Amino acid sequence: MINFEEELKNFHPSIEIGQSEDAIYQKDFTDFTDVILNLMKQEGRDGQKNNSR
Amino acid sequence: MYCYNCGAKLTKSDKCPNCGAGVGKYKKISYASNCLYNEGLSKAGVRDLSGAAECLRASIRLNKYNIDARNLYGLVCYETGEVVEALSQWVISSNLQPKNNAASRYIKEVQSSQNRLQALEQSIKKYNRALEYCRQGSLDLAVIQLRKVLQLNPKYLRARQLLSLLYINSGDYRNAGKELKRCKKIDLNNTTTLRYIAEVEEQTLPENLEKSGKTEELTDDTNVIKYRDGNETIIQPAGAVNPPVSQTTSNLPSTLLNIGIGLLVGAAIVGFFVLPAQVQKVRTDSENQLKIVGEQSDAKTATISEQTQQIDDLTSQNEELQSQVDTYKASAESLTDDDSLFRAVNAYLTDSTDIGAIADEFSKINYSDVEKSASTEYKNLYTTLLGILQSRLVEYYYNTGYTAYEGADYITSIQDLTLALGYADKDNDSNYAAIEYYLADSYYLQYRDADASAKSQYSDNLSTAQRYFNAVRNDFGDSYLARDAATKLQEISLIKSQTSSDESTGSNADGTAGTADLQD
Repeated sequence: MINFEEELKNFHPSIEIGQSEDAIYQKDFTDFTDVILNLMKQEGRDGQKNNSR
Repeated sequence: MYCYNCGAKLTKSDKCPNCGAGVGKYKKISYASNCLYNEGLSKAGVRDLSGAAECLRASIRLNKYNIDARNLYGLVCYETGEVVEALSQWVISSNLQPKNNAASRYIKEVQSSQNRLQALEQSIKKYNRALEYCRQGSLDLAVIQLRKVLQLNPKYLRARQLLSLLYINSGDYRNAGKELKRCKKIDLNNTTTLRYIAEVEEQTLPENLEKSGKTEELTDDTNVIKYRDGNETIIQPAGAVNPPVSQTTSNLPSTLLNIGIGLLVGAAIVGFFVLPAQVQKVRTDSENQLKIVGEQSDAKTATISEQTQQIDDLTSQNEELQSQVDTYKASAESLTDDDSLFRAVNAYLTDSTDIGAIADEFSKINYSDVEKSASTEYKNLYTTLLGILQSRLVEYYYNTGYTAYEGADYITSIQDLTLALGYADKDNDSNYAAIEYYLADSYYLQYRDADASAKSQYSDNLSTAQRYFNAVRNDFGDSYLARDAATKLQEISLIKSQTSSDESTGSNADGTAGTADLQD
């Protein structure tokens, strides 16, 4: 038996067309590639620190 | 595939051929993103839009530069009525890759129709309002709003699911089934839709079927709704007050045959009933038009005839008026002469002894030109005045002419002696022969005394002089003037012969008197 109130919580208001610009700016564009590259850069920096010691 | 560091094209190696950056992991991530894109594409092909959206979201999360995945995700969102999300993805896509990107075309197409865009915006606002009504407990208003939303945007899946939920909540499983059926058409494997369909089926089964476990037989494939209405159990296809078209048996050839027969019957009806009436109407209209045109043509012909007659009348009037004008013109000339005559009369009345003033005005009257058109009174006045002044005029002009002749002023002598001769009467005037002689001599001497260069100007003088000398010799033969005239004629002949021998060679002048060249 479906609970109406519970199901209603799954429905959220839609962004209007005029608000879409703000929605785009607030999006996080970090993808997995960026994460990996950041990790690789960090690894590179850590390696250099260890070498300098 | 291109290097994330320098943008160079990558080879099979795990290092960039240009900058040497390690691209092994990057390549794997890109491959995974592409795999997810492919999976999303195949799901979208079978209308599993929810599944496609999940795969494409994952693809984009792995590699945000996967433009194809992002564009397809936008399309999937647009197809489920999520316009804002679709536009957002296309805008991001076109910014990541401005050239050769289908996203730019999608955005342009959506924005090209302002009416469509406004309808979509309205549908979003109404959906939000309906959601608010739901939270407030105004479910009836929410239903009304959602129906309007679906009129504006029939593909809005979430709105249709919410409407189904409201129908389920109110126990209206028939309408809920209808809406859920449409939801399935939009998105085949949407979890929410499937859950609601299961709920509707569960609620519409009789209790004994549930207990016996035969509910499993009633799968989505049967699309049958059973529900109790009081003491009755009603079984009908899901969403079918009017059975869906897809459930009827397909009978294409007979359908086509029926359509063909219908077209033939329609054509026959048109041909036998509608067309003749139309043709008759057109004929009647054209006949009426012809009649009207004919009447107009007759009217115009009559007008033309009338105007031609008017033109003829006006032409004859014009001619008549022109003749009157000519008459008036002649009269005007005679008026001018009337003025001279009046001035002459006035001069005579002022001082009848001043013959010079009288003669001066009288000589301006050109009687021969106006004699035909002059009035009787005018002619009488002129004749009377001439009768009074004639002898005095002759004497006056003879004296002035002779004085001028003696002074070698041949121009004045010719003018005055001509006037004297004009007024003189040959039979009654004693000075007639003298006037004529001195006039002839004035012409002759004017030529003879002229310079060689001016002689051509007086070339006619010799002939004129000959004419007057001949008249004197013939009319007054016994007088000394006649003898002198004969002598002058010989001189003139000699001059003429000398002149002609100068102009042509071998001609002999015959200047003796009495020869044939002494002619008028």
